[in-house]
Amino acid sequence: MYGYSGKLLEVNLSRGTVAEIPLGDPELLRRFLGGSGLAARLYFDRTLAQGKKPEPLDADSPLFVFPGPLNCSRLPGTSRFSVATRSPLTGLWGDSSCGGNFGPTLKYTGYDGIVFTGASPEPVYLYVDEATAELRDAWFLWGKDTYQTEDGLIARHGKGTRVLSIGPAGENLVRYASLVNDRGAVAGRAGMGAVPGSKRLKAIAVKGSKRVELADPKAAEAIARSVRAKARESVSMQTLTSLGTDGGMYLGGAMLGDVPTGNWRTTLWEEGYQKLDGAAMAETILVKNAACLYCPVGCKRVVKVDQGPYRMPPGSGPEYETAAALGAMCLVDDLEAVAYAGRLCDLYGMDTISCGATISFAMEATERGLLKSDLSWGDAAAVIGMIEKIARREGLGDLLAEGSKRAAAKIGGADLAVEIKGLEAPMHDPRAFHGLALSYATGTRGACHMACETYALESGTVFRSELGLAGPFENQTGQGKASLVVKAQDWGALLNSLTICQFINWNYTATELVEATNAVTGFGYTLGEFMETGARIWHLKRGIGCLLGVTAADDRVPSRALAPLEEGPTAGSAPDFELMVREYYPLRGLDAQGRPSRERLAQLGLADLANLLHGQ
Amino acid sequence: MGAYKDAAQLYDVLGTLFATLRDDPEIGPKVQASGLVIRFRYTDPDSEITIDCTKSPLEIIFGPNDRKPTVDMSMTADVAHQFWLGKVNLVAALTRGQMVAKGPIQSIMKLLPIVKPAYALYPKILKEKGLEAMIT
Repeated sequence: MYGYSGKLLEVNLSRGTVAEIPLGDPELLRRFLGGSGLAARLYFDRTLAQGKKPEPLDADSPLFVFPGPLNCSRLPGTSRFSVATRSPLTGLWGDSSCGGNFGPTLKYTGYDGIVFTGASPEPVYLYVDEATAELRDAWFLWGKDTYQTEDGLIARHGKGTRVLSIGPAGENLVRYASLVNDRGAVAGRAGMGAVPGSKRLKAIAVKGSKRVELADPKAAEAIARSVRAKARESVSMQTLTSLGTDGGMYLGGAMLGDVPTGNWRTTLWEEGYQKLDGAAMAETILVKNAACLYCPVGCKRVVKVDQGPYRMPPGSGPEYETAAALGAMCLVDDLEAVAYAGRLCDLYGMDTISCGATISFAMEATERGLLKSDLSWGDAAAVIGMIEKIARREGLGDLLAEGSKRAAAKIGGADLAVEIKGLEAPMHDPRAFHGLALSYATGTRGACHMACETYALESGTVFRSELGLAGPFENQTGQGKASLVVKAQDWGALLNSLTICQFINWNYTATELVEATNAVTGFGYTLGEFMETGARIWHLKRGIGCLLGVTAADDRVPSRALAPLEEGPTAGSAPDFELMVREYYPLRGLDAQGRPSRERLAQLGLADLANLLHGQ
Repeated sequence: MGAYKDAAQLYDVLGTLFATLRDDPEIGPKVQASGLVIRFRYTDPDSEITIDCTKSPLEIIFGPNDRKPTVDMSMTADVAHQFWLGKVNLVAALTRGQMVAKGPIQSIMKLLPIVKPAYALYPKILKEKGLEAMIT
């Protein structure tokens, strides 16, 4: 078996046992790869296929921590891994991608992933190296933040240990709790961090150097050289290196109308975008950039603030999504405050997107008289105070820890919450890029721009001639976007199952990524088979969502994010959502209830899923 | 034929645009403060404009010169024309090599706040010069 060790760890937290189990036959891996694709397959097999539907925080709910087959290849961008299960935030399929060093190091222990079941009676962590895999007492870590947890476990197990942990937010079952490794590489979305919290699993510590055999190492190295050369010349990559993902804040906000601001109500905030932009960060609080393992770009920020109320030592700095959600959405234009707020979310272990979006929802709810709070637009101290309260579930924080959808269900103001299927929308405005509306509405984990390549294609960051997506694409139209989104989603499903970075992926042609996968695994895909694998994974996740309650009615975008703004770069722009979804459904083979058709599922080899959705 | 009939017309139109930005009481100081030496190199027609913000007041130089650019932008004159009309997707143009930008990224990004108001000025300048037909 190439690209895989052929083994998983099965951890039963109720019994306190750790066992090695076979990964599965090569055909299973060829069909689902790894990462969130394989996780979805095993989730289906272990739960829904057996007539079980555990609630996300039940002990019976399995949790998957899965790298992908490319993780040990040293190809650029292949350090990511997936955390996946039923989401505590949405109640539907949830998966979250994460970078850093943890994913490859897990694979270097000799395991292709870990499945957790049950719940421990006491706090524990899992330690894995090449000779050992055991649960250990974690009382000394419980209550600690993610940096303290990482430091504590590295001190205990030595240099080279990599740690994935939850913070107090996960322990307190905040519905958008995250898992963190490397002080700022985050599995943020969909509340994956609350699931280990419910299991009293504080952390996973891994240490290893066992290599995995590749099918054709020379071919892999040739592709790696080509990709690295392209990355060096790419303005996008240079921008990510110098300015981070936040380097696009000013361009996106002031010139394209892409940055949701003031809870999606405006894009007239030019000075704010400039103050929060990656260029401003580079001139003020940036210490250096940082890279995930095998990444030639290094988009991560390390920042510090030396003086003032937001003083903090060097550590994780804000990504674009963080700066937009905790900054622009709340109308806070103080970069130090936003960086501090983002750091708190990393320390407590919370998704900055859902956190910022929920706080901005609460700001507007307060303004409207639905809520009594001290939250007001632009008040950085109030935002930071609320982050603390959410993490601890204190006072209003307890309500907001439930996410904007549940909060709105309790206090009113559903029209103020821009969420789809319960997941708060990320920080890209569909009025700037109309195809995003469809991507958000039909995303398998809810509103998501990272489960697909729609944004990169529409913005012109990448073009994929081999997939019939040569572009250029007109941003503010729905024409032709349904077929774009289908391919972009299938591509995204592949990325999150290979576990490769979305950004570095822009430097691979489609053919190169197929060849890279073949060079690692020996699977011998054609491009067509590769895309079919992506389609299979997408349909599996969609089908799981349907079995957990998704219907066609849920494929919608709140009017707050569709209604045209009167001013700003997107003034008058309104995505033709009905056109796009009307074209999308038949392309996807979805029936009137939103379920993948029996015929399409049969084509994809998902007859078992079809039987559950449509009856035997 | 491209948007500009010859280099002289390009220098006249874009020279006026850059001079207007220089002289604007809000935009001019920002351009000056950038401290950049920006070279725009065009083809069809072959031409070059250098804006030297290391001098005060900044200097706009037409044609080849020995100033050392901090930022060097290359494109066809047609792409430049469409860009100042606000019709070019900047990211796509850079990705596809229709615009080639060389220089520190931080310096290149400093130009963006200057670009935005220029989008409103450029069509006005074309109209004032009787070149309304170029606004399509």
